[in-house]
Amino acid sequence: MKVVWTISAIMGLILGSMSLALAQDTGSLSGRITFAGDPPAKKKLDITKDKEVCGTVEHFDESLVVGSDKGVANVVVTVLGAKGGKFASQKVELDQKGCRYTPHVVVVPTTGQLDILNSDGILHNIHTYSTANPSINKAQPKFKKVLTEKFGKPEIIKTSCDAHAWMTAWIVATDHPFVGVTDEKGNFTIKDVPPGTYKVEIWHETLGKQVKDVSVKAKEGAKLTVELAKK
Amino acid sequence: MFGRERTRIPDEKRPLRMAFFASSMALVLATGWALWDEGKTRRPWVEYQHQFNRLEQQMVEQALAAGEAKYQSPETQAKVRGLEAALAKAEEAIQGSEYARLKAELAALERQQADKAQQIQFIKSELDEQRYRVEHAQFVCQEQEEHKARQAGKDPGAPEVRKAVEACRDATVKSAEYQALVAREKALEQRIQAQEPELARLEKAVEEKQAALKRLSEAATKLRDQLAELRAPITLLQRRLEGIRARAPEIQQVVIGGLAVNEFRQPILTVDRCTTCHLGIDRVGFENAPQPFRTHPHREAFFGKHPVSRFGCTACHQGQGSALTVLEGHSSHELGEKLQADVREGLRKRIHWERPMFHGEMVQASCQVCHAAQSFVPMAPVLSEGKQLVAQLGCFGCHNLRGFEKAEKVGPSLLRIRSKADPAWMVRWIQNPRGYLPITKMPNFHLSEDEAIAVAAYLLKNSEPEEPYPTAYQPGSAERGRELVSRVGCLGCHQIREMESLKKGTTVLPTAPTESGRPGDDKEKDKAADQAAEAKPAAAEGQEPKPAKRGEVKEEAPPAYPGAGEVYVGGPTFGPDLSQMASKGNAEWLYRWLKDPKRYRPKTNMPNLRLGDQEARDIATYLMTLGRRQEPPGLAAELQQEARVKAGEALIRKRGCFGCHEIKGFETAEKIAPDLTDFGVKRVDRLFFGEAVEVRQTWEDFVFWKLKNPQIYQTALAPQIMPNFGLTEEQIKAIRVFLKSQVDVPVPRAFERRLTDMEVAVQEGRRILQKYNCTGCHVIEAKGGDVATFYEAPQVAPPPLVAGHLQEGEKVQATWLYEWLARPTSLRPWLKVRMPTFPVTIDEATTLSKYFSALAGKGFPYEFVRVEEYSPELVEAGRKLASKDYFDCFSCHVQGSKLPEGPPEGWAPDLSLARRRLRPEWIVKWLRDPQKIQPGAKMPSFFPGGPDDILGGNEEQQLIALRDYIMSLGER
Ligand SMILES: [Cu+2]
Repeated sequence: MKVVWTISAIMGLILGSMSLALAQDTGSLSGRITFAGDPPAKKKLDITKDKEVCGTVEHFDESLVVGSDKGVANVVVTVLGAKGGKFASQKVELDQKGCRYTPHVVVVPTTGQLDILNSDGILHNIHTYSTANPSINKAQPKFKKVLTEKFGKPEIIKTSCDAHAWMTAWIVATDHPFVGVTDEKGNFTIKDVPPGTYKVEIWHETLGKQVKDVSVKAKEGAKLTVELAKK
Repeated sequence: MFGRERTRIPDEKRPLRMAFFASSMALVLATGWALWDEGKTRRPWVEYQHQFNRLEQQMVEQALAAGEAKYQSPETQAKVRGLEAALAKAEEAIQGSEYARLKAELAALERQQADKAQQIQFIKSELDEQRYRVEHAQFVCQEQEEHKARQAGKDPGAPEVRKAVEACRDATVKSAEYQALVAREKALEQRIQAQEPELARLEKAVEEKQAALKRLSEAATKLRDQLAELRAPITLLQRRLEGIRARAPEIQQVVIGGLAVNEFRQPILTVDRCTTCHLGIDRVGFENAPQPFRTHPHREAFFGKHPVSRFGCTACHQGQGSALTVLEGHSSHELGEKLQADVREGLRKRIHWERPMFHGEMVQASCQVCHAAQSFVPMAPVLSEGKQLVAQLGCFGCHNLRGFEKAEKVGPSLLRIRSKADPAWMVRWIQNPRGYLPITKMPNFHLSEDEAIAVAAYLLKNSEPEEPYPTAYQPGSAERGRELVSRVGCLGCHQIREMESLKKGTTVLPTAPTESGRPGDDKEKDKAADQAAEAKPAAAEGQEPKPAKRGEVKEEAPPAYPGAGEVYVGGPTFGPDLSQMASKGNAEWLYRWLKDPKRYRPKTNMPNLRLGDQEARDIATYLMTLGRRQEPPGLAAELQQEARVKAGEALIRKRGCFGCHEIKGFETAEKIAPDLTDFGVKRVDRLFFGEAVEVRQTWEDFVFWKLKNPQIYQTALAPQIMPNFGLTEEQIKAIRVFLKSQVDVPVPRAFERRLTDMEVAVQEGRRILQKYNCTGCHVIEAKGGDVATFYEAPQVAPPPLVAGHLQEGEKVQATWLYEWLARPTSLRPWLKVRMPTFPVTIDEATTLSKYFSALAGKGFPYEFVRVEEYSPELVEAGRKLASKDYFDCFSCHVQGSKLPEGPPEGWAPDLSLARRRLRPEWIVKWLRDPQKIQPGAKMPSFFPGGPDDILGGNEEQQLIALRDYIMSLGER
C-alpha cells in the first residue's frame, strides 16, 4: 500500500513538474463576449420537411444566440500572429442530428480533417461557400455515415444543407491552435498562448468582426471582454 | 555677192570639230545622266532593298556571332573536344591492325565462300544434265513408238500405241542403265546437300565480319555527324549570309489570279509589287524593324487563310499594286508619321486617286467584299460593329444600303398610336426622344414645338381604333403589381429606376433625365451646349488639328443628350425604360398589351407572359404610378386643327418618319435620302462640304463630321435634314468603316466566304437571341443574365444556358427544345420568374434549336431514338438508387404530380419530364459531377460514393442505371 502511495506521489510530482515546465512560459486568454442592447427573443423555426427525423428536436434560429446574461454564443476569437502551439486533435467532428449541425461553429486544423457524421439516416448535403478553399457540394445519403473533408487554407466557411434550408454551420479552418469559440454563456478560453502582445480578432456571423489588442504574460491568464452590437 | 565673199570656205569644207565635240560631250553627259537616273531616281526601291539586305545581314551576323559564341563556350567546346577525341580514336581503329586483320579475314572468307558456291554450282549443272537424261530416257519410248505407228500408217493416239509406250517405259525404268542414271542423280543431290551447310556457315561468317567492319566505320560517321550538328546553326547562318550577299536588286511581285474582274466581269490577273519594298512583311523576325520592312502586325492571324501569294496586298489595303514608288503605291494622303514631310505633302495633293490606300481600321472595309455573308467577322471588329449599328439604327429606312435590301423597319408601327400614347407625351417625344428615354435608337430631328405638334396631329388623326380585349381593365393593387414586375422577369428587358435599389450589391443608375418643364432643365441645357461645343472638328481624337472654327456653326450645333450614344440594344436596356410610364401611356392600353402583345402588334418582339387577368391589372396599375401625366392647356384643341394635320403630313414626308415606322398614308413612299450603295468610292469633289471650312476635305472627315453633327454642312440653300442619332465617336468610326465597304466589287465564288450549315445556324441563332433579348435573362455564350441581380439566389433566377461546361444543346433534346420554344411551359412552376411565350416563328424555333445543338457540337436534327427496351434489372437498380434508402432523389425533385416536402424554393425540376426533354448521355454527365457543368448548382454530387450493395458497387453501372430509370419515368 505504502509503495503504491509513494509511486503515485512520485508520479504526481513528475507529472506536475512536467506540466509546470510546459505551462511555464505560456499564458492563457479567456473572456466573455456580450451583446449590447436587449437580447433578441429566441426564434423558433418551422420544420417543413422530414418531420419524423428533423422534428424530434426543437429548432431555433442560430444566427444570433444570446444567453440570459447577454453572453453571445458561437463567437470565434482568434489570436493573430502567435507562434507555436499544438492542436488538441487533428480530427474534428461535425454531426448532423435532428437536422441540426452540432456544433454550430467547428474549428478544423488546416493540417487535419473534418469528419461529417450523418446520425439522422436521411439525405443531407454538405454545401460549403468558400473562397480560399474549393467549394464542396456533396450528397450524404442515408448509407453514408461519415464524410471526411479537408480544408487546406485558413478561412471561415459557411456550410448549409440544400435539402433542409434551415441547416447552417460555420467551419473555421485555421493553421494555428489559438482559436476559441464562445459557449452559450459567451465564455471562451484559449490555452497555452506564448507571452506577447497580440491582435485578437473577434468574429460573429451576424455581428461582424472586431480587432482588439491583448497582452499575454507567462503563467498568467489574460482577460478580454468585448461587447458586440448589431450593425 | 558680198556674202559669198565673206564665207569663202565652202560649207562642206567648214571645220565642225567644235560642234562635234560639244554634241558628243552632250551625248556622253546625257547617257551618264540617263544611267544615273535609271538607277537612282527611277528605282527608289533598289535603295530599299539594299537597306533591307543590310538590315537582314546585320541580323544574321548578330545571330552568327551569338551562335559562334555559343559554339566557343566552354561547355560546347568540351563537348566538341570529347567528340573529336572519340572520332580520332574511331578513325585510328579504322587505320589500325585490328581493322586490317578483320579485312583480311573477310577477304579470305569471301574467297572460300566463292569457291564453295562455285563447287556447288558445278555439281548442280551436272545434276541438271542427269535429270535431263532420266526424263529423256522415258521420252524416247514415246518418240519411238509413235514413229513406228506413223510409219505403219496407224493413229499415234490409238490405245494400243499408248500401251506400247507404257510397256517401253516400264522396260526402260527397269533397265540397269536407267537405274544407274537415277542413282547418280540421287548421289549428286546428296552431294549438294552435304555442301550447303558449309556454304551457309561461310556466308554467315562473311556477314559477321562485314558487320564488325561496318560497326567500326559507322562509329566514326556518327561522331562526324554529331560534330557537324553542333556546328549546323552556324553553317546555316553562314549560308544565309552568302545568300544575302549574292542577292541582286529585283522587283518582287505577286500575281493574283481570279480575285479581280474586268468591266465584263471576267476574271483577270492583277499584280502587287508591294513586297518589293515591304520585304519583311511575311517573315518572322522583323516585328520591330523600321518601315517598310516590318513584319505584318497580324501576320499569324491573317496570312494563314489569306496567303500573300493568293490574295496579294491591295485586295485588303487598296492602293496601286503595280506602282514602285512610295507616292504612287500608297496613293493616299494619310501615311504614317515616319514618312518624310515632303512626301506626305505631295500625297496630300493627290486626293483623286482611284484606289487610295486604307489606313488603320479602315482596312476592315475590305473584309466585307468576301465576308458579306457574315454578320460578325471575327478579325474585323470595327466593321462588324458598324454592320450591327446600321442594323439596329435602321439607316436603311432612308438610304439604300448593300446587304439591307430586305431589312424590316426598325421602329414600332404607328397605325394604332392613339389608343396607346398620351398626345402631350407624343409631342415631347417627337421633339426630344432622349428627354424621355435616355437610351433609345430614335434620333433627334430638331423639330420646333409647332412642328412636333403637327407631326403628332397627323399621327393621331390617322390612327385606327384598337379592338377591345375580351376582359376589361379594372384598377388593381399597385403593390402586388410592383412585386410581380420585380419577380416575373420584366426587368430582363425593361428598366425601372425605382427598382434599381432591389438589386443586390449594385449601385443606383445615374439620375433620371428631367422631362422638359421640370426644375433642373436649364442646367441640363447648359451642359448640353457645352457638350455641343465639343462636337466640333477640333475635338476629334486622332484627327489632325483643324484651322480655327467659325462661330456660327457653334450656335447651330446640335444638343447632346444624357446617355448620348448608347444605342446598344440588349440586357435591361432592350425594351423601353418604364420609369415614367404614366406620362406616356394609359392603363387600359397597358392591360390589353400585357395580356396579349401579339394581338395588338403582330410584329412585336414583346413576349406573352401568360399573366392572369388580375396579374395584368395589378401590373398596369403599378406602371401607371410611375411618373405623371403632363397636359399643357390647349394642346388637345391644337391637335385637332386641320392645318396642323396638313403640316404634319408634309413634315413626315420630308423627314421620312415612315422609313422606320408604319404610318397610314405612307405605305408606298420611297426612301427619302441618297442611295449609299456606292458611297465607299464616292469622290471627294462630289461631297458637299457647305461652308464647313474647318473640316478637312477628305472622305473620312466628311463622314465623321456628318454623323457627329448632321447639320454641319448646312447652308441657306442646302438644308440638311438627317436627324441626329447622338452617336459616340467609336460608333461613328464603326459606321464609317461600314460605309467604306459600300462598293460594287464582284467577287468570284472561290473567294467568297460562304458559311457552313452550322455557321449559319450559329449566326442566325445569335440574331434571334438578340431579336428577343434572350440574354436579358439567360447567360448564353457567357454573356448576359443580368436580371439575376434581382434575385436572392441563382436557383430562383432564370437558369444559365451556355456557359463553361454547360451546353443547353448537349443537355436537352433538339425536338423538345423546338416544341418548347413555340409553346413554353414552366419547368419550375414554383418559381416566380417565368419563361414567357415569345412570338417566335417555326423557322426561328428551328434555328434556335439548331443553334444550341451547333454550339454544343451536336449534329442537327438530333433524334434520340432508343430502339431496345431498358433492361428491367438496370431500371430496378436505378429505382432503388433513387429511393429514400439511397440517394432520395425525390427529397427535392418533383415527379409528375408528386411534390417534394418543404418550401418550393428547395424543389428541383420534374424528373418525369426528363424522358422527353433530356439527352440520356447528358444525365450521366450531370450525375457524375454537377458542379463541373454548373458551378454553384444546388444539385450535390453523389459520385464517387455510390453504395456498395447495388450492382456490386460498380459506379459506372449505377450511373447507367439511374439514367435508364429516369428515362423510364413519365408517360410513354
Ligand atoms: Cu440536411
